[in-house]
Amino acid sequence: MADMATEAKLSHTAALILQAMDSGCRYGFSIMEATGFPSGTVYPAMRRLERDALIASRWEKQSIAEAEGRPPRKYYKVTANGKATLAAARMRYPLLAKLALVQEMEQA
Amino acid sequence: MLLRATSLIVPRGERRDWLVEWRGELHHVLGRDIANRDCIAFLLGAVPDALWIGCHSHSHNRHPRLESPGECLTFLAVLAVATLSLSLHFPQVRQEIFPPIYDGPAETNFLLALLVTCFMLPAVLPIFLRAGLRTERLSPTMRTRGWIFVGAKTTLLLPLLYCWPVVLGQVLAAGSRASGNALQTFATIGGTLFAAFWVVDDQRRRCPHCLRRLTSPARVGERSHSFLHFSGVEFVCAEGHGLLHVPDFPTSWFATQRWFPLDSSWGTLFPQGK
Repeated sequence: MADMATEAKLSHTAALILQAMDSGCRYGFSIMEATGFPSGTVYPAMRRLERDALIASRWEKQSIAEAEGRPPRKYYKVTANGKATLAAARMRYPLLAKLALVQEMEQA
Repeated sequence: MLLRATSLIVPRGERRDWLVEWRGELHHVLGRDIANRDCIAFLLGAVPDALWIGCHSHSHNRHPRLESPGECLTFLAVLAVATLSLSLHFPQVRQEIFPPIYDGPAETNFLLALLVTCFMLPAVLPIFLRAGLRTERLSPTMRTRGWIFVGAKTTLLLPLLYCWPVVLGQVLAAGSRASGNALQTFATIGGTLFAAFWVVDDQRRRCPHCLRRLTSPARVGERSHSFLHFSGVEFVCAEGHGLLHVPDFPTSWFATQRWFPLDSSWGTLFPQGK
């Protein structure tokens, strides 16, 4: 019961974005490419996920950005809460579970 | 330029990080050799992102978007210029908005809509900008500055109210003159009402001394305990000029919002202080 209370219910879009992040997409643009959603959908969704502590953001090291001669980027990572919520979302959205399976097979 | 203008929507405390994040992503996008159209589509996503942050900001020094009068006017000016530029791109819209003869259909619709709005306005919002506010401590200079600010906002909104209904009428009712004119008229009336409401509401939520938007709304009292108690929302000026009390519903002892000026002894509480 406590687990049910703490797991946030995700929309299909948010669940797809969370899944893309869990599959290894760490930057906003790579999530856009993986999911096919426009930037106006992906970035606000990432803000909501971060607000709900399902993902965490970090700035990449300034030295890395300077070495490559570009501005630093923010990258995202799924938190433990996010993984639990994603697992619940896969039970709620069967297609998401199938997509996760396909992605795992492709990575293997 | 689009990112800079959009960043005005983001609260001041988060603006720098937001700009750095989007510039970082844009640099990566440009390096991927994608079409200009896709690049612009990517950048347009910054607007809903900025709007979301503006509505859901949790920073300790939260400031509403467009807080200072300068930022508000700059944002409206950018919108006006963008609207005029967009209108010039459509030949049929350009012909409607800038016809060779003054007595063109766009002007007629616009003037008619303004006339109708003038009759409707008293029914939908109070006429006096500061109804119920205790303004006796305001100097004539401050009052004049307030009215100038209202005039500037209204002037900068006029291009939007004039051009956007024409664009909508031409694009959505292409080929049908009567439908286009009707759509323009209704869009102008609706847009003008909304703009008038926003100008008045925005002015009411600004400090009469410095014209910055009031911040930190706090609930005061309980709605069920309304007998001789105040129940409403309290806003504060970030520079410590005063408090605005907005009642949940009008009562005989507290009918409309009230401004309570603070003297300099409160200055230590406000970091941006006077």
